[in-house]
Amino acid sequence: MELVNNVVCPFCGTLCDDIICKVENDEIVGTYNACIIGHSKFVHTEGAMRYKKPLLRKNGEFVEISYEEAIDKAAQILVDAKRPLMYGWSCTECSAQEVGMELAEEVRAVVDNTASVCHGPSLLAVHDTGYPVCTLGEVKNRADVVVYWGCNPFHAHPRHLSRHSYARGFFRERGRADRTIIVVDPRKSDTSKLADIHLQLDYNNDYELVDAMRAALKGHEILYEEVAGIPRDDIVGAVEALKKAQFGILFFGMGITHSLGKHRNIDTAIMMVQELNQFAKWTLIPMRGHYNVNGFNQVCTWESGYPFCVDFATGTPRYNPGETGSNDLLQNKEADAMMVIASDPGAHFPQNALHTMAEIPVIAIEPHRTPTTEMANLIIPPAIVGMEAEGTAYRMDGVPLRMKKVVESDLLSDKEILEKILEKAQELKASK
Amino acid sequence: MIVNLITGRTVWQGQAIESGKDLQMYINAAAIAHISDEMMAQMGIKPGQNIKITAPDGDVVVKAVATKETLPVDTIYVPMGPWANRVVDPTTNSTAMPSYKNIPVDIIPTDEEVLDMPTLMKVYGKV
Repeated sequence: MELVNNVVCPFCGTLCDDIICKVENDEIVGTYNACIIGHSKFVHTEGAMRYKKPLLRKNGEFVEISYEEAIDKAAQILVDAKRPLMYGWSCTECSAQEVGMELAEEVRAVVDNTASVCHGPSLLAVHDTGYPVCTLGEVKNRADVVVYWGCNPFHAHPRHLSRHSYARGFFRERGRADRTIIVVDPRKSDTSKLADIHLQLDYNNDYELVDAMRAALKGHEILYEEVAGIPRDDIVGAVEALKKAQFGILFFGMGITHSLGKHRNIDTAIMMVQELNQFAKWTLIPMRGHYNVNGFNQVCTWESGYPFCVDFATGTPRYNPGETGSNDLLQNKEADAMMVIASDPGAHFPQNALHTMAEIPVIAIEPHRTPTTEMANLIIPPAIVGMEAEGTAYRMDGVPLRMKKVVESDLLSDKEILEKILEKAQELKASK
Repeated sequence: MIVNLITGRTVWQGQAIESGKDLQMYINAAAIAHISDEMMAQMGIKPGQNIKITAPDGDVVVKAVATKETLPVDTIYVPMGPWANRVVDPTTNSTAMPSYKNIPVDIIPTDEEVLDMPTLMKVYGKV
């Protein structure tokens, strides 16, 4: 058995970089240090279907075809479509995303990633108010007040707490004991059970609570006995804890981006962090879900000027989330073909978007059987980045890390598949 | 009974999506609704019984389980996945983002079966 050290985990945006993979006969058979979710990704589970050949849906059944046929078919679908949507991108590496952007421009598609259904509102808020961000290393070494707002890392980012909030750091020698942890969540979540302060707000009241906290921060009296279901004294006490920080960090997640107000909740939360800098050093980091969802937003921005929901229909990138978002295009029945890569909208889009996916040709570049492949007309299986292919991914704090190739694979990588589709699409367009 | 629906991650749902979405593990982790003991008593059901969730844009049958993360009154929690997404609010309010949390839904006890993932996806009629 061979041990491969310092492997970066291809699951969540924490991008744990200390995984050790146990390899036997060119297969990952075990891991050290990974959480239960990361481990499940590295190690094949008996019974789970892994596609090894491209598949084409014919009369309701999938039949095997060659890679060459699959590439031709995919290019044809994209070139023939009037309003193709290319969605996903968050479970692959940056150079594949770069080729994807070129392909989107070539076929005049709308290109969008999973931020659409996670931190899209955060991106909109960053446009409005800025991005006072730091690195996770700074959190570990400096942060003495840690806020988790609308996120539950105990479940969604299982090693986030141990690596950054419980860990000993340069200025936090005792680790957890040197930090105050504040959780804001309407549920008594497993993360809130570990907190020093739990602000259990009424759901859909994030904006009101931030507003009251900002008022207290500015020295105004809170005029109501309670706001968002939280007594005035508790709000004032929490604000005092924030003001006393030496280095504060706000982590925030879907509890605030998915709730009423969406990007406006994030607007006001970012402004609170900016205002807190009058009292202490304060920063924020969005709790990104897919391991390279941030990478796509970086690549998309440096290629087109916008982070997601980019429409190449006119040949010039255009950006209007709410019109050019995947859910908008699908629910409005505007998209007439869809390519899905490195994500699973079949599992994570609402029912009304899936009704359209059932009606239009769907290409799935996907290694496993998923709800998306159940909706696909064409399945092209790639090698899995971080295990069978290498590349760069951006951690939730914007630090790029190199994903390793741990074992060999006969399958083409995402990048190779996209390059071949791009080449074919260029050929088809030239012959028109 | 009208309740508030929250959807989101659990570590077991995460484990299941990475192990295989075609496995029983996924059904056990995501085709469930976390419900308080009080609400189950009110509905006259026990953990392990099925409930039907109905929303304006769809419905779904899931299994009721006792929540270990205490929920606000009148709230249920369904892990993210194709079952939950039958009943979320698809509206994006011009932000590109559907509403996955805090959705009013109707729940009733049912004898209908929980569908496995491939059968559930057939509801959409892909041919």
